[in-house]
Amino acid sequence: MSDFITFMAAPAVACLIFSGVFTYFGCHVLKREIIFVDIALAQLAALGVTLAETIGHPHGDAETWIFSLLAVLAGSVFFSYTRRWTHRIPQEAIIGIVYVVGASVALLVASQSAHGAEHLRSIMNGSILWVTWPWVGTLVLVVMGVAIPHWIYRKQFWKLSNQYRKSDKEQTVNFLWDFLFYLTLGIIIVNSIETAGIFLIFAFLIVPAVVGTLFSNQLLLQWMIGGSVSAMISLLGLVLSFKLDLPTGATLVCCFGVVFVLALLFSKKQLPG
Amino acid sequence: MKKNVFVSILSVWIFLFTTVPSWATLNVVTTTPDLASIAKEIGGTFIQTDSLVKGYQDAHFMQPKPSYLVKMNRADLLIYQGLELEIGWLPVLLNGARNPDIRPGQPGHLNASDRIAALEIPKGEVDRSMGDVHPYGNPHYNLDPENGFILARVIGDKLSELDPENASQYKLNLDSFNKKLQEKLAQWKNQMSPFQGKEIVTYHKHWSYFSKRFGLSVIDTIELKPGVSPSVKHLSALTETMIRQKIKLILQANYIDSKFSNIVAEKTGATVLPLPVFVGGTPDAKDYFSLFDTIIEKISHVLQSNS
Repeated sequence: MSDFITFMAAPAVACLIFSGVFTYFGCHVLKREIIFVDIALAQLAALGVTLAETIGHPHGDAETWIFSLLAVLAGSVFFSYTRRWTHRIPQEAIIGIVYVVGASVALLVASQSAHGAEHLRSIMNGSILWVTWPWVGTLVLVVMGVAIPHWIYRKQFWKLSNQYRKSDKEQTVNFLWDFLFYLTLGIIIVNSIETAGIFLIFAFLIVPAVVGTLFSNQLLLQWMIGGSVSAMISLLGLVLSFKLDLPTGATLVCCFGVVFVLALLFSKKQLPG
Repeated sequence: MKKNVFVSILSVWIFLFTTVPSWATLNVVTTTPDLASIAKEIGGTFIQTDSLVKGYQDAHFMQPKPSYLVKMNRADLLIYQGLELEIGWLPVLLNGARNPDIRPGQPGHLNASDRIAALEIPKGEVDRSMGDVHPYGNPHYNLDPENGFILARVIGDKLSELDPENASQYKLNLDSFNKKLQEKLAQWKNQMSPFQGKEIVTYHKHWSYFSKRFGLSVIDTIELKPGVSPSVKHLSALTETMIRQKIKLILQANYIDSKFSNIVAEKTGATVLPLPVFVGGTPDAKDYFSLFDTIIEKISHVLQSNS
């Protein structure tokens, strides 16, 4: 047990923070029906890292971080801008195109780079197990930086997501809010994906929000239900991974999968109201 | 009374499960199984060895599991292959293990490549356009059995340094290991002698040290860069060369997907031979000696039937 605390305390705290922040974004993402946006943004971040690696001389973490942030920024502009076509083509199509093209460009760049596909692999293979206390500290700062504008302008953000499928008026205003939304989500993803891995982040983003949505119509309730389920399940997953000595990320994702099925079984098909 | 019995049984159980049996003096963790095998030969019953990478896994990449952290945390000595083989995962693991004794610069930290003469060290300035260059040279030196002597000596020295009480025993074990390797080496060289100068193709640069020792000549590799599919241009040029020079053997580590090797083999009539590259890579490669027994038997079998 003492081993568990020695090695898993920092990952556990990271899981709790992820549960809060990703469930929140997950509810928005579900409402907007842009499920795979995080994978597309993560892929762009990976492309940024690969570019930095190829162009750059020996570089620090800061430089890599800026490159991936720039890539995410470009993606955010693109996603918000292409909103105006979404009454004719589904936005999931745009997200999918960005993902595959981003992944392929990254491969082309990697084939010219000294370290080949190592970085691309690290994005897929990242593990929550490597989380250290300084990293948790950075995560807290980043989350706070993102949470403050989301708290102040929570009404605008929620209204936008709620009417996402309906409104195509007030485009300029929407563009700005959309851009802010993608950018803040992108910043969180850039900071968590390399450590936690792409599958785990996807699970943290979508599964708790889905569970919350199955049991409530209200954002706040969805967030609270999803967030607490996410916290409990990810901690359970950490314990399981430790006791059975299984790869941590995959264990957590499978636990989320089980919870999703259970939630389906226990929820009603129609919510009242 | 009954309660007392219950409590005492319970406490025995707790005792059994909370203490690690510690009759072994040194807890040795190695990254690759070859190092564990050699350390076991030298350390005998005085040490406990554990390899993080299994013989059938790719040592360049690792799926992180919690037990690695626990093992590293309890280790008295970490031995790793070095030359950046484990660069992708060992630094993070060392960081997470929270064991000051095995950090770089500490006595419990042994880079096994320290006294190895590395092959393929890039000359002059390393240009990043050169592809996947290991600046310190090719890290797959464990596949030259002559390097086994160096590894055994380096590990023996380290064990004696950490556990001077048993140094004389380590010395005896080292001598008998060297003697056995000497005999085996003569036998392997003998087995490979009919195939001097044979030209082969390999998938990854796993086989540079092995080929140099046993007189095979590696013409080219299937992959250009690890993790990136070989280009069509490269494969077709390679196929042409192989047909022209009548090269009939493609060697590759048995954990690598043989898709691309098979394409080339189909066009050239060559045999794709998947081989273990570490102890434990196949069930019959049980230790450092039987690893080479397995590899050499399979290679000589294919080369014999080809000629």
